[in-house]
Amino acid sequence: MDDPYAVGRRDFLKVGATAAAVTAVGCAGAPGRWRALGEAEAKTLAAACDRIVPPDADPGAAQAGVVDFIDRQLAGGQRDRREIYRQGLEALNKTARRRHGAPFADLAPDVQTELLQEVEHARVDAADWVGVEPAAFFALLVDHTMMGFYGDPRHGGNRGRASWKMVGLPDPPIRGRLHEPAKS
Amino acid sequence: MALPRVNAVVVGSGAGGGVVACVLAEAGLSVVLLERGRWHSPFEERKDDLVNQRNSSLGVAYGPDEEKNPRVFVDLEGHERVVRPRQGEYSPNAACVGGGTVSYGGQAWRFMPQDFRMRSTYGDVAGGTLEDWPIGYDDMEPYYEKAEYEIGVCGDVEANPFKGPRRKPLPMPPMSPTREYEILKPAALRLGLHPFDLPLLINSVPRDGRSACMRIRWCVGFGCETGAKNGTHNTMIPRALATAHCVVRARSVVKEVEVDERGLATGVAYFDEDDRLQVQPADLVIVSGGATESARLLLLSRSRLFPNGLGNRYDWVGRNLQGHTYTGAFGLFEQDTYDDVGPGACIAISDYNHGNKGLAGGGMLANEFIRLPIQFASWTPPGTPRWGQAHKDFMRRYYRRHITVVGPTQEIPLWDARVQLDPKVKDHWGIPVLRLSGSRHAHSIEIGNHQAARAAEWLREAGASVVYERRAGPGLSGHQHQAGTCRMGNDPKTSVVDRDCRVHDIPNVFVIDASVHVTNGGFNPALTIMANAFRASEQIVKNWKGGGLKG
Repeated sequence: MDDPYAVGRRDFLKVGATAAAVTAVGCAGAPGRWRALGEAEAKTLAAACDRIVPPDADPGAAQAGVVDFIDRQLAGGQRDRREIYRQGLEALNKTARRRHGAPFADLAPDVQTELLQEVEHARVDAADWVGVEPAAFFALLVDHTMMGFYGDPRHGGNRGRASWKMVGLPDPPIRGRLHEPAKS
Repeated sequence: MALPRVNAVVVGSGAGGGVVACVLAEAGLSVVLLERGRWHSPFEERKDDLVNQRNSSLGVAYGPDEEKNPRVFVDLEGHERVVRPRQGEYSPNAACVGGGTVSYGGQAWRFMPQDFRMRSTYGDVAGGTLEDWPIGYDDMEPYYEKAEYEIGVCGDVEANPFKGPRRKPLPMPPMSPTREYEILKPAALRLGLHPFDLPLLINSVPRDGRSACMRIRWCVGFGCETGAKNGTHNTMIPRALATAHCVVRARSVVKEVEVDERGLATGVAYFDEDDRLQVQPADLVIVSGGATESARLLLLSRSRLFPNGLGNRYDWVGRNLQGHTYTGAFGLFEQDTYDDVGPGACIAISDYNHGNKGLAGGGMLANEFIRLPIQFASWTPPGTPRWGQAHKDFMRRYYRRHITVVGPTQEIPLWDARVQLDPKVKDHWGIPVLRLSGSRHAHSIEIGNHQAARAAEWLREAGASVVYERRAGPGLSGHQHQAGTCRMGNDPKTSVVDRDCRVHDIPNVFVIDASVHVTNGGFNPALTIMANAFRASEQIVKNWKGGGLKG
């Protein structure tokens, strides 16, 4: 059977290496690997997305390519959200430094989760969040992470159909399953 | 420069316009069918779960174009903002040849006799504009049958004791039962309800030169790659073209209906696929753009004799916008309910459409079409966080162990739920865009919440371990079931078109789509739009005397 994602897969191999580097935080990578994000932003974003869909027996958001999904969106159809991300990720790091003395990505997972809950409910220092509303930024981040993790791999996320395998959707995802005649 | 004159120009090729074009062309009238969207082929359907008419997180697949067609939405606090087709507030309807019928779920409901007599059945509902239709179920019955047979419906409604009388069974048998069906049917029977095989505009057996449904699970919101889903694009429009009396001009955006000094329409002005302004002269103009766009076109067609737009002498055009309040319940189970078999919706009850104590109406309930994982991600029960480990655990545990039961509430129409022309914002062609404003009647919310509670009972009886309701909100209703903006009625002072769908004060302009629905039934409206289009176009043909209408 033809793989309906054949084209998407070539794309995926190309970007696979980049996202793998992001998850291995701290690795120096080739410059310009991202379309819209800066290297440091991608690192912060990967850490935040991994708290929204954490890795466990199944891949987490970063491993499944959610950062790549968001990067593609910010360079494409959702260019208008680039600035919200820039400001939001910067504010997230400011808050992390103010409260814990380290950038967000360097904090322990539990601390990151707690911090994101504060952002979600806008319980943050207003001085760190100038020009960007914390709850709105976080809602957007959750929306995009869900799309990137549970949506179609052709958009750069859900690598290897990780989430579809996790929830138990038979592979390939699109096919007629029943070939018996209608009941008479 | 004007194009050659034709007998009829039909604006919009969806459930209404596709039928009208075919009936007129087969009767020998020359027809131009203008459609603002493009043709789609079954072979190009990509089943993108983020770009479709069901979940438009990243856009819509079947139009309208995201950049070229803004609208203005006014929220309940009076704040206005520009919205795009991918956003719910836009009340998007697909824009392509076949309109919404290319990507709909295809539920093929007849309204019930009471649905045409809501005012007589329930009296006045304070704050609303509830009214009877000027026609009844008996007027519609032969045309429901025509729609079922000519477009193609499967299912078995014989076990539904609440349905209106019908002369013939549905033309195709129901599809074989899914696991959800097997779980829900006995539960409904135990509750004393009357479940039956829901009617669908989908081939359950090969028919009309096209294959039977392959039971692909991602169906509603997408086109059908096998062509088994029956819309006007693969039934009525090809038939119209086969007469050689009809041409379809896709990517044609109509600007206005042109009217002469005698008060008769002379044709329409439209922008063609290269954005060039064209004039299509015609003896008859039929507006079938859906409830939001049809009202817009009438409002845009201003002239000396019609300074407020066509049919708008008494300010009724664009008012009473109503879709459906969609409520229901989610049930989580401890065993698999998912069998990967589409199209999904297969079992329904009509027990709660009418006769609900203290309520002016109700609606049908059915199991939901198969959910996309991205949709399910937002369907968490109360107490489950929307992100983090607990959310991921929920997805992993319950995606295959879940049933949703939902249904459309027949709404109480509201005078202030409306579309107007926005005074400032223009579309790609420089045409004023729609401005949507208003709310939902409090009683519609009450009825919707009653339905949600009934859906929850059904799921509990079916063995769900966790049941939670999807209740109604106060926001403006419209969306894909949009209706009501050009009400049909006998009195020109309180309606826009007469019982034959002719605009009251202009004898050669018709509105034939859900705009004319006085009320919108507690059912998906597609089959009613089609049946009424058969009825109204047959009336046009009866009155046709070559070059114009009799009388």
